[in-house]
Amino acid sequence: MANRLSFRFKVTLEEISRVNEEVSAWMNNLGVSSGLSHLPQLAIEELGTNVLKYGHDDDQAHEVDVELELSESGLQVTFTDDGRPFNPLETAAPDVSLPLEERAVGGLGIHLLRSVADTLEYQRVDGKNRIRLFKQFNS
Amino acid sequence: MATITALTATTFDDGSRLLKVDGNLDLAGVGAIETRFYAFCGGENPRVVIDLSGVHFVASLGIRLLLQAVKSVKSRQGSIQFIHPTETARSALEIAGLDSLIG
Repeated sequence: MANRLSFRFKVTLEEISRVNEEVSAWMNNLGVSSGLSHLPQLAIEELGTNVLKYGHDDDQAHEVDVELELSESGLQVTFTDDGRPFNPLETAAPDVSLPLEERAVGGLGIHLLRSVADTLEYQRVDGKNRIRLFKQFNS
Repeated sequence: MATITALTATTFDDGSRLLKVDGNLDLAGVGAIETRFYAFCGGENPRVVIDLSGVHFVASLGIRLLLQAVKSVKSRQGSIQFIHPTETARSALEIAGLDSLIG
């Protein structure tokens, strides 16, 4: 049996934090282990702040769609936004071998997300970015 | 109900400091503690130990906070060490290339 949660929200810093509280509550109610339960929060925060910073040229708050699906095999998170094309698979991992003083403090979000998820897929569909992440149970 | 991320700071007689973070190092959590966190990593030749045993979720802003603290302390010839990281915190330190500072 699959449990599904779908919602749409306007991306602002306040909304990202509020939505993540609700997602945490949903996950807790389903008794999901903390290792799995962090994937949606991480996706919403990292992909949401990306949309906020880089997705659009205007200063308006834009809506994004999130779908969480918990099945017997694992947890899938789908994040859809109508910002400019952004393929997270094309972002380079930060070079952590550089000396500390030369290292950038940003750019770690997508790297972190890819390290937590087992798979990450990207599609540009109908003028929207659709990013799908999956994490298996016991991985 | 929101869980508020807390920072407990202890300064010892020899001037060294212990910072313990409890809660999430995400957007809301970092926002709640960053001003005090950076303040406790300040001064001349700071010696700082950061206890991450109470951190169960780290987003990139949290990694950024830790990396910035390390850069700040090192730039002033101080020392910094992370102790008792949870599994999540350890992974975050590894991703940031800071795992060599786990004591």
